Amino acid sequence: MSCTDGLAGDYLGGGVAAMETVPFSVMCIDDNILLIDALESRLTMEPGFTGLHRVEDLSASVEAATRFQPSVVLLDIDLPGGVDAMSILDQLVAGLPASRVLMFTGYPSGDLVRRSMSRGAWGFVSKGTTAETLISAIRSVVAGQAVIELEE
Amino acid sequence: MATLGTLASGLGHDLRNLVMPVLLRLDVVAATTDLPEKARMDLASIRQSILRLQRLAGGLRLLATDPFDQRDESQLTKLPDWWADLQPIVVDALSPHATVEATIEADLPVVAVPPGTLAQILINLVMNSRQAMEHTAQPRLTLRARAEDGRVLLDVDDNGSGMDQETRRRCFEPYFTTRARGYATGLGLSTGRALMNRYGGDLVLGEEQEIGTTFTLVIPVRVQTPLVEGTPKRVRLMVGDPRQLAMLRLIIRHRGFEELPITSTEGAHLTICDVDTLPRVLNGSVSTATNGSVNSIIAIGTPRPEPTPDAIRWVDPRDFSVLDDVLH
Repeated sequence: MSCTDGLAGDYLGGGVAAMETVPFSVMCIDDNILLIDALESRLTMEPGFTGLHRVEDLSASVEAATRFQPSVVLLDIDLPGGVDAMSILDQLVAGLPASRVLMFTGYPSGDLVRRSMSRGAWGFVSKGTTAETLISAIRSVVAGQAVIELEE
Repeated sequence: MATLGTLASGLGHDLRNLVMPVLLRLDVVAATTDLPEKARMDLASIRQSILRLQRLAGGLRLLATDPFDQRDESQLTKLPDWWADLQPIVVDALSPHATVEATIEADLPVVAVPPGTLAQILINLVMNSRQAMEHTAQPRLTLRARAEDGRVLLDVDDNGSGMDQETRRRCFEPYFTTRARGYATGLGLSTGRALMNRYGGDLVLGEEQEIGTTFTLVIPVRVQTPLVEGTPKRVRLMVGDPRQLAMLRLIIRHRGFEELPITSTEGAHLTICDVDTLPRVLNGSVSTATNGSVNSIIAIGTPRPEPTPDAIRWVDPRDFSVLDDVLH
């Protein structure tokens, strides 16, 4: 019996062509510690993954990104405490063009997608999608493709 | 009800935040080599449960949105997915021995009403049905959706005590209620109908029937203005910027257009290019005409000084909302 529901055991370390071993790091600007830890654990299975950086102080996210120069920044739009994700996006796009921002939200909308992409985000992922979709989105952005993944 | 909405919103959000980490960890565990077959099956089963939980969280979130201000929400609903999110909540809203039967086919057209609005109207109908079926031995709620004349008709039928003549006459009046004073009434039929009317739809009471009551949601189907007469609408994308490309693909997907691969020799109804690829499009090195008809060209960027054919529509890349309008 084979599981066709996408369990990791059925694909070999990421499902991406073996030649694609571009090294990449990820920074998570998110308050969901469970997610960040789980993502780090999952990403260690991906070829090329060099590390995940956590942001301890959300209000100092841009400084942290400047320090670590991540390949991909996973930016939670639903940040608590009045932290403005769009403002962080603007600063990252302006100051760290080599770090590609992937927006992450539980409340996707066409307007939010348009605003994010127009302001320079490289991707947009809804929290209602699967783990496979999130990992694939990160890989795509690393590979230079822009990604929009809504629950469809 | 507003308090419940806030709670549901928070709960839905928290559930989602828990679901993704579990799915990620499941992937990690499943990648363990030499995993026994039984363990693999158990993991698959856990994953299915978590995905159902994710659906439930999605359903809760729908119920928490403000039905009067859906501007931030998707304006379109895919009814099969919508029902998958709501089904566990509808089942929970009815008494434990009630059955729910739904016929909502996968091939129903996309409808042009926000999912949260539809969800709250449905839940209101379900709560009314619950009350009507209070003394019914085998309570049953039946949902049936069918496409007809540019609309989807969603019948919500119960086998409860039905409505007397006065109730049938007055049920859409604001503030009319058959519930005991002080009971939370939620959205109300009057508000539900007004909301449907707002989107060009309706909420209708069915013909009197021997047992129970049927309400029908009349839901307008998404309107897609074809760019060119005849179907299918084929689009060729020749845009270098990956982010513009992703946005265009999303818009095209939502419009139901078909994207032609760049290497395809088939003619396109519409070509979207940028300032760099426009010369190739204009000198005909890329096949753009189909059946001899003139195709449309949309170019992303600022027009160059050289004159270009009038048939080209220019779109500023800083404003994708304009692009959405242009394609519509």
